[in-house]
Amino acid sequence: MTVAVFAQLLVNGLAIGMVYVMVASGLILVLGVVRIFNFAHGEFYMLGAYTTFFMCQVFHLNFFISLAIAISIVALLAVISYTFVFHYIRSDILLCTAASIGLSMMILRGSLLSFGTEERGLPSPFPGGIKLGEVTLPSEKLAVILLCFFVMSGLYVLLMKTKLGKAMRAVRLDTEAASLQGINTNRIYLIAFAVGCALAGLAGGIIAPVYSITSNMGHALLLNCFMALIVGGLESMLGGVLGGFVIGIILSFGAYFLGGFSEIILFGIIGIILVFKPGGLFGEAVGHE
Amino acid sequence: MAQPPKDMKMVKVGSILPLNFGMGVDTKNMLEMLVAKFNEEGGVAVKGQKYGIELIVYDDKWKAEEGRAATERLVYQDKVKFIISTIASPTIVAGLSITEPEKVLNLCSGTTLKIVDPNNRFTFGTSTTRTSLPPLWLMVKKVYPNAKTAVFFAPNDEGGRTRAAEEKQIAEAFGVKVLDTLFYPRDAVDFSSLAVKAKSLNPDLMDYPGADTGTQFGLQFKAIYAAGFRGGHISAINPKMAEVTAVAGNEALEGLVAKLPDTELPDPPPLAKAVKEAYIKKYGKWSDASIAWIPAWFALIAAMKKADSLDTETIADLIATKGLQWQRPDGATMLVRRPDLKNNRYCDSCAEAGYSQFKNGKVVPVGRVALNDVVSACEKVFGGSWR
Repeated sequence: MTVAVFAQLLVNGLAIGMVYVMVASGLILVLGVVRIFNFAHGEFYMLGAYTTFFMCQVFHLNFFISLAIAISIVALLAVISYTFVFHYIRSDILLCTAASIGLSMMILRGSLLSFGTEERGLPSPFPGGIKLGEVTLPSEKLAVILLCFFVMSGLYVLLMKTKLGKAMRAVRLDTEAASLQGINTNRIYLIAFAVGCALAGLAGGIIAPVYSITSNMGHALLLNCFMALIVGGLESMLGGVLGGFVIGIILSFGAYFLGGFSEIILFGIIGIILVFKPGGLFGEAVGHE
Repeated sequence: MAQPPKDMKMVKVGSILPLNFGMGVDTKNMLEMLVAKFNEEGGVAVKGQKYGIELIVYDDKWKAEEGRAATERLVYQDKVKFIISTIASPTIVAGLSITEPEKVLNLCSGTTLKIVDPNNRFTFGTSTTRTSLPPLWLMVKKVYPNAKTAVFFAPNDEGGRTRAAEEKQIAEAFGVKVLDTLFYPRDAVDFSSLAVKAKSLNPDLMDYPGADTGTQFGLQFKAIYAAGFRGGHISAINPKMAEVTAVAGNEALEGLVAKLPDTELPDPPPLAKAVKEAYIKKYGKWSDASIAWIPAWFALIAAMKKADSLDTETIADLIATKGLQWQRPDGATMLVRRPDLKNNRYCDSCAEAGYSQFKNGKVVPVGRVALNDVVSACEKVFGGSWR
């Protein structure tokens, strides 16, 4: 393996990994704060991609403006979903799970009816490559890494440096205590759900010009995001970040060495990690007493 | 459209198509247009009597059980003696045990080798899916005479693996060594790692056997280009350029050699032009998705005329022993023997073919392989005398 090949595979793996990191972070935020495992998370990712596509192709808007609109629309849909679906059943985990599956099916079928089964493609806003010595790295993959990095940095600032973030962390730790401190927990749940889904939508919009856009693109991604959560630890944001990178790198290098069988390596490595760390890298194992 | 003349008798012809796919719907639309036009223009004269066609189309959803049910319905309920343009191999295979004993003339469009089984008497292959690769590689060697090596990208399923194996045999018969075949899941969207691997092998050519023709195809070109490959590209199928170029820039497709249907030429030949104009008139916009699947229609009419009969035994035995040549929108076609498959009947089809190359953002015709040269190329690769 040459330096050029290694660099290209690394950039590819980081780009895929950053997308998983963003989507997984949104999922962890919703799970950790709102206590809902959102099976419709992949559909918000898909809606973000489609919205970006239509803003760029139909309304001929700039890519970044299209992204901003996509986030807004996905966040609004998330607010509507939470307000009319999850708000009333939040305390019942089974009901929430069933509701999120139902929501996923509704959004998926709705998108099939609205957008059809045809695969869509968006021209890259970052064509070409950047030459670093002998290595040429695709600009769009580097742009994905940079954009995701900024978004995750923003999420970090939100969660660690703002009052809202502090409130979210407080609700996550102890809802009752947070409520007694005067935090409006219902408002925090709504905001956390919207931010989590918006992260997924933003990831979809960022990745839209890199790959194709289809109604079921969220499903395949969600499976890999679950694996990122398992690797990193179900409720650990740092774990989700690390898990996303692990998945992305393994898939990229695995595909180079094993082609279509790269997922065998992925499951194998996840299995080994879980043997030594059953709760994931930063999670806690659930014991039986 | 005007009604057919009142003295015209009607002959029922069936077709079983996958209407859950765009190309199935397009093929149905095309056949309906061709049949209506044919009837309006007076039909076919057999023993002095004019006959029009009553087309009956059923949906098989590309499934064997649905295809079998549709075949039973056509043969037993509708009393059809002619079936044309069946695309799905599961349907063809499932229906053979009905169509052969019932002496139904079955002019198929599918890819399965069961069509050209020597035990068949009434079944013939009329699309060129089994014989289109040798002329493609003949053209590739003309366009890229110095090419010595190739890498294939193929879907990791039965169809992709079969096409990759077939094309590898043909490429190597034309002196191009296949360095590796890189398989991907049929629904893959990320080809970056495979593209890096392909580039590291330094092939002269990239080929894509079994690939989808739309956006996914474009993603492969994009990834290969991003990995640094600047050699030649080959495609056995006509890519949907609008979808491909939506994701891959023109520079990524530079040099792509692909089949070019006559209907896409700047100045198409008369039959191609007439078909295209009639289709646009009826449906408002053109689709070439059905071109590969409709030769059976033209073969049927040619066979009826040659035999001057509607008796399926007479027609089948005549064309199986004497052969058949006919025109389709894509050019001249003929039935050929398949001695390599132990079938000395005229049972399969070869057709002349036009090819294009993608140059500077445009699809440019690069040449045509004449019918005799197509047959010679097939004989070279597969062996035996096909004429």
